[in-house]
Amino acid sequence: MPTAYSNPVSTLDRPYGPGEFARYAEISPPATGAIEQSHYMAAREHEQPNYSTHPGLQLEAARQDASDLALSSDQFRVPRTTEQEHYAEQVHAEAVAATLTGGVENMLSAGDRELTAAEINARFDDITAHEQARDAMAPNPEALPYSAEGAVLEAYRAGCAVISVRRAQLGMDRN
Amino acid sequence: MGKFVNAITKLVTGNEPAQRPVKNRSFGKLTNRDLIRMESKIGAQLFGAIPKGHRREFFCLDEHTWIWYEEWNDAQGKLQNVTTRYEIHPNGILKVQDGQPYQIVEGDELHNFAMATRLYREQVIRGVYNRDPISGQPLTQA
Repeated sequence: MPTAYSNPVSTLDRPYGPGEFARYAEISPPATGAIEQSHYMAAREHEQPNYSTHPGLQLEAARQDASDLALSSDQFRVPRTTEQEHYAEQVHAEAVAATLTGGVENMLSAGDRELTAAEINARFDDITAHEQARDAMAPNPEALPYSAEGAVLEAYRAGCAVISVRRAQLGMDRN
Repeated sequence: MGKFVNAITKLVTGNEPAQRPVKNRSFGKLTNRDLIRMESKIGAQLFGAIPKGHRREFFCLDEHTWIWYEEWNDAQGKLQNVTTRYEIHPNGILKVQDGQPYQIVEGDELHNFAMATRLYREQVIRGVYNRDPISGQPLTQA
């Protein structure tokens, strides 16, 4: 089946028909220019142990960090206030529910309003099913390639950093 | 499909009346959604120029969740879209797409994803929040 889809910077331009698209869609590599823009950061981090100016080596350093840290579930727990914990639970519940129904708007609404107890309770069943499916698919750490730990650490660090400044900004908004 | 397209349209254009565009609002009144929308505009550009007729969103939802949305018209002119959610777990990264089972991200895609999150962090913290990506301190005017 022919496809008009053509994106020179994406791995999405595979010769699959639309019906097969989602099955094969993968995230594409960042643009070269964007990586070059990152060299300022890389140079900064070069001043710190375990980092260099080469993105690949940065990842290698991150992998080493992950190995040294022996990642575990507990390390994914960031100390939060009760209010922050409540907020995080709301966002997670909303994100799970929204994804199950294929909507993005609901995900983005999560931080804008308080969910009622009834709304959260109504989604418990769906969330439970979601989590059961996720757990059934959870990676076996012994079967993973070593590099997976570095990628996990990189992504988790990035998420924490962004969410931290975002929450700080929202906190400023409320003042 | 229509509901979903409307949702994405709202994601990009927002619900605010036309006379109150985001850029004219004081920074102090931005909501979580506004901030994510601003971040996503940077995130979408991380993968190069967006082809004509495409819409792309890439943003961090929370510490463990990243969203990639791609929308385009197929050869028949029919609107197609894919929403991909990446979940960060201690032992790996899972990918979830509409109607598809969970997949473990690995190989080149894993490398690309990790690099994309790093670039997102650097560029969003600097470009949206005007802070130093490493120290988190506000950037000063030169």
